Amino acid sequence: MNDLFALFYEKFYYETDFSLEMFDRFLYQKYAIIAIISAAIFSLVFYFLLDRPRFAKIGLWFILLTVASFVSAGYLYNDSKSIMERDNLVFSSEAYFGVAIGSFVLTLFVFFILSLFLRKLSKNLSRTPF
Amino acid sequence: MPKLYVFAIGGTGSRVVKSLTMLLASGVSTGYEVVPIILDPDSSAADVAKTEHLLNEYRSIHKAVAPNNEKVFFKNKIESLGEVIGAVGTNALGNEFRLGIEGLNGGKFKDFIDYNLLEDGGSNQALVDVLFSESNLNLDLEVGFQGNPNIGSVVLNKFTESEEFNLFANSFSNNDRIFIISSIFGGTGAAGFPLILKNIRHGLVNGKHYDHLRNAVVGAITVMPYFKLDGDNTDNIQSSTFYSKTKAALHYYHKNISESRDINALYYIADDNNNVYKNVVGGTGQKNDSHFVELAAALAIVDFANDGSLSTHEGNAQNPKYKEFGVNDLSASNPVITFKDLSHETQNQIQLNLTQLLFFSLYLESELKDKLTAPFAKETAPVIDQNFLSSIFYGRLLHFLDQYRIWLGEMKRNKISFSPYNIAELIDNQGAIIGVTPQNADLMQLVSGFAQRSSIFKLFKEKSYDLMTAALNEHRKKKYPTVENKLMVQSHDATAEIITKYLF
Repeated sequence: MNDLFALFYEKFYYETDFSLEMFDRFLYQKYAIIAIISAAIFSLVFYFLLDRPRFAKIGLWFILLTVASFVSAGYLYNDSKSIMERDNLVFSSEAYFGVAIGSFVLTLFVFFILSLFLRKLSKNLSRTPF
Repeated sequence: MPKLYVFAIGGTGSRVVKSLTMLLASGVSTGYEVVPIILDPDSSAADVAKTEHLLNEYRSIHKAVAPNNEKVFFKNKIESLGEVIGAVGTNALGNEFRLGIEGLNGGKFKDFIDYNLLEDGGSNQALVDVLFSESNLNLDLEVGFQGNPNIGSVVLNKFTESEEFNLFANSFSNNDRIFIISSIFGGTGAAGFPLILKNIRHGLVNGKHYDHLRNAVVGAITVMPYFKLDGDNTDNIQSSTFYSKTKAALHYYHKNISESRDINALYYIADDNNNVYKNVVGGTGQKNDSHFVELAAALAIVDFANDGSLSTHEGNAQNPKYKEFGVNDLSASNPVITFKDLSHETQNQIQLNLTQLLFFSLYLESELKDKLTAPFAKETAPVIDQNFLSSIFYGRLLHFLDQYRIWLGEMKRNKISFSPYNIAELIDNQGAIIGVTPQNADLMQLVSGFAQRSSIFKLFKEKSYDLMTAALNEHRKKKYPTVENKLMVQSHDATAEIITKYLF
C-alpha cells in the first residue's frame, strides 16, 4: 500500500533523498490513511451530525471539504517535518509543502467520493451538494 | 359515497358554509360527499359570492389532489347539485352552488305575487293587504327579504316547486342526509328552514311521492342572534327586533317541528350580541367579518354527519336530538376563545386540523420557494419545482390559503374573539383584513397557550420552519401519483407529525 501511495504523493513532489526517507518510514501510507480518515470524519459529520435542513447548503459542504483537506495537509506538513528534524534530516519547506498538497488533493477526492454515497443515507442533505 | 345535502339559506347560511369549507380544507372529514345548496334571493350579496368562490376553488383543488384513502387536506369531496344531477340524470344543471329562485328577478314583492292583477279593491287584494303591509308589498326583493320572514315564506315556496328541487328529490338516495342552515332572526333563513323541512317530510315534490326523501335523516342548525346592527329606527332591518323574532320563531319551531318530530337533530347556537355590524341591506356592501358562531355552526354539520344513531320511520324522526354549543370557561373581562377554552370534544375535532392548515399555509408562503432543492421536493418524481409553483393549481391553492388566514384574522377581530393563534391582522385602508402575520418568527410559538415541548437535545433540534422541512424530508422516498397529491399528502403528514410531537 505504501508503494501505491508513494506513487501518488511523488507526483506532487519528488526529490530522491526526501522521497526515500518518506518511503522508508512508511510515511506516505500513514499520511494517506490520515487523509482518508480526515475525509471520512468530516463527511460523516456533515451528512449525519449536521443533518439539518438549515445546513443543506453547498457552501457549508465546501467549507467542511476544505477544512478536512487543510487538516490532513497541515498534519502531514507538521508531522513529517518534526519526524525528519528529530533525526537531524534537513529538507526544504517546498518538499513538505509539495507532499502536503498531495494529502490535500487526496482528502478532496475521498471527501467527494464519500459524499456521493453518504448523501443517500442522509435525510436532509441528500441533495447537497448536488 | 353517500351525500350530505347542505341547504344554506340566507347570508348566515353562506357564512356557515364558508366555515365548513375551511374545516374540510383542513382535513376534517364528514364521511359524506358534501353538496352545498345556497339559497339567497340577494343576487349580489358579497358573503354569498365569497363563499361560492371559495367552494369553486375547493372543488378544483380537491379534484387535482384526488385523494384516495390517505389523510390529506381537502380530502372531503364537495360538489354542486348540478354535478350530482349530471351523474344520475339527463337534466344537467349548471355547476353553480347557488340556486336561483324561479320568478325572482328583482322588482317589488307586489310584482312577484302579481298583486296588481288582483281585482282592484276586491276580496283577494284585501286578504293580501291584511297579510302584508304597504312597505312589505313595496319591498325591493333585489337584496333579499330584509328581515321579513312572511315575505320569505311566500317567495321561497317557489323554490320547492322548482325544477332544481325536483331534480334534488330525484337524485336523493337512501343513505343520503340533509342538513339545513338558517338564522332565526332575519328574513330568508327564518322563512326557508320550516318550508324546506315541511316539503322534505311530505315527500311530495311536484306531485310525485318520494318515500326515501320523506324518511331522510335531516338535521338543522338554527342560528340565533349573535350580532347587532348599527343605524337608527328608519332602517329596514332593526336589530331591536331580533330577540322578539327569535322568540316567535322558536315557539313556531317547537309547535311545528319538534313536537311533530320532523327533525332528527336540531342544533341551536347564539351569543351575546355585543358586536355591532354596519347596517347594510344586502348587496355587495354587506361584508361582515367571519365569526366564531359560524365556525361552531359548521361543527354542528360535522357532528350530525358523524352521528350514526339517527333514523326516521314513516316520516317521523326516531329519538330526535337537540343540542347546543358551549365553551368551557371564559374570562368576563377578556372574553377571548382559545383552543383551551373549548371542550375536549371540540378540541379533538379542530385543534390539530386547523393548526396543520395554518402551518402548511405559512410554510408555502414563506419557505417553499427556497426549498425546491430539498430532498422532499427533488429526490423522487414527481418533483416540486419552479414550474409547479407557477401552475394554476398552486396559484389557486395560495389564494385559498390566503382566504383561510383572513378567515382566522376576522374571527380574531370579531366579538367574541376566537384567537387560538398568536397572529396579527394586516388591514387595508378600508379596514378589511387582507392577511395575518405570525407574531413570532418561530412556528412553534404560534399556538396560543402551547409551548414547544423541551428536549435535553434541544441544542441539536431543528427550529421553526426547519422542523417542517425535516418532517417533509422524512417522506422524500415515498411515491405519489401527481405533484399536487405529493405536496398535499406530504405536507399533511409532516404537519401532523411535528404538531403532535412538539405541541399537542
